[in-house]
Amino acid sequence: MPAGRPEAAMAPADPRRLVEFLVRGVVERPEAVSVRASERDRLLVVEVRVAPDEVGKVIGRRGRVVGAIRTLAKAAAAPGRRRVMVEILG
Amino acid sequence: MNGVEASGRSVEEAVQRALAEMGAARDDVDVEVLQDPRPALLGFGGREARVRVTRRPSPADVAAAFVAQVFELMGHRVEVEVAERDEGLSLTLAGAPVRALVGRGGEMLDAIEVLTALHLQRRLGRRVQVAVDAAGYRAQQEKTLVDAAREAADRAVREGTAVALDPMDPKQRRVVHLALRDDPRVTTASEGEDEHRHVVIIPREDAPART
Repeated sequence: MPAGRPEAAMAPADPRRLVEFLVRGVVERPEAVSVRASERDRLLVVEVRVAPDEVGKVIGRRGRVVGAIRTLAKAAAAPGRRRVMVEILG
Repeated sequence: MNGVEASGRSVEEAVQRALAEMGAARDDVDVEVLQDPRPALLGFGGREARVRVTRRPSPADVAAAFVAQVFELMGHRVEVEVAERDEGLSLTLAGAPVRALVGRGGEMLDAIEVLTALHLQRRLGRRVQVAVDAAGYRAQQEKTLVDAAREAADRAVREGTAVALDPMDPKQRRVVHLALRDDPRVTTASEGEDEHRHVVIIPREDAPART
């Protein structure tokens, strides 16, 4: 039996890593994705760079995809009541 | 899973041996060539092909792993149950507080659906429909929608006038159309563009007026 982590050892929510995982999971070139986060006055800004030709896909039709990413990022930041901004750049 | 390694005189022969050992079909696996074969020259220096054959994960496995990891990064450990249906995958989430799984107005379920479907499309190269539910939220949502549609149909017949419902997404409109398909008193149509698209319930001219 593998020595599993105890249930209590759940890592805390991490909006930056979450956004990185989501974007890498939906692009064709995950290696071109880089994510930077900065926080000021309880506003967390997550800046995502993707391959220029994949910006449209990550935003989605009428912002559907980036909207979904923002919903999840907000939930991940909620415990600290931080506000989150997610920006997609090519 | 590390897969199975096999060798043979050609890559194809090595792959066939690995498939036989795994009991897998060619379409279910990925092949990595570890060593190209080289023919012997004057009886020297020849070598066999070596391959590693790995069973390709199923859409259900890919979806479950993705969703579990997403929630872990939001600080929740969830159980993901996946049912494979004709129209796609149906995921049921449990293990975390319902408000964390469902979100305000079901926004978390919607977001997980969008991202999981896109993830599957990228990883598998084809579209798979994904439906996500937790704590029976979708079923409840659908019942509310059906009840509202029936009430609106009653009103359309009673007042002898078309009734326009609020704008809805395609799935919700479908639920309304289906709910009223067998109601002989009315017909339904979708009108408006994009986020304004909504269902209109129209009384049939020949329908008997309700007393």
